[in-house]
Amino acid sequence: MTIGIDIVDLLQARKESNWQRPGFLEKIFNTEEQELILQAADPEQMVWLLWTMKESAYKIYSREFQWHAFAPHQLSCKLLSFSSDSATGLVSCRNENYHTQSILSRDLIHTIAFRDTGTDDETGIDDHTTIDNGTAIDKDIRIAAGMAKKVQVLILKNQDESKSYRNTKPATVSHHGRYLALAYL
Amino acid sequence: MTTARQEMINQLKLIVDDYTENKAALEQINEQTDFIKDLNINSANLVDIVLDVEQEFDIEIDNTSMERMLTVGASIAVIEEKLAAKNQN
Repeated sequence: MTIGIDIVDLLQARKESNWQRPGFLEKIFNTEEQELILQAADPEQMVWLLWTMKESAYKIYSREFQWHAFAPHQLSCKLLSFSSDSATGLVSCRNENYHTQSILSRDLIHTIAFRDTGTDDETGIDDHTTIDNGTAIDKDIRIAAGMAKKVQVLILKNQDESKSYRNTKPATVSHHGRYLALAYL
Repeated sequence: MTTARQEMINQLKLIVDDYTENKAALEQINEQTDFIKDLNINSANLVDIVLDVEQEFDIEIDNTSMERMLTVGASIAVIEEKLAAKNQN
């Protein structure tokens, strides 16, 4: 299974970025994504949720296709489920599709992206032809949850304690502000 | 290197200064410098660099051009293209 992860420390993001800066959202998000942000109860959270979805999917795509670009508009996000502490979604990047599973809290947002191969998961993920759209979405959410179960994610807060993390051979890491996220397959 | 190019690198250096903690690497800035790899700039701040460049040079950078702006050299190429297009009008 191919995965990519991305973590955002919301406190750090607040220090580093002003998402309300004119032009900021337009450079990163397409019209539908901007709608999601503007209609969200917590627009700041939605900005960084969609950002981690794009980043985690980009990490897989750029590794596999040796493609390096600052191209947030080449990745488009769809939210399938969203609650106070989790979200699932789909990200497409130049004909490749990825499932995402995110955890949300007051302090951070963490997203794992999985490549939608349709082969490496017993639930099978090719069956998008279901006429009832609701059923297809339910299926995507189940797939994301099933894939997420196979990945162990460790989020460390104290950088000093986490210095030896490389010895633990994580599949991938993401660092931002106070947090270090490690994913093990 | 032409003085115009060196001048552009200096202008970029001033912009980028706001977004990097790695001042030692910033002092060594050149056309090969990669914003993320060499200057440890957060990828979300690449947006700010692009917006600052638009303001500083009074140009508009479309999404396709923005894709290339991972290094100083590529950014200068984009700025030069946009300035040339502007001056034709």
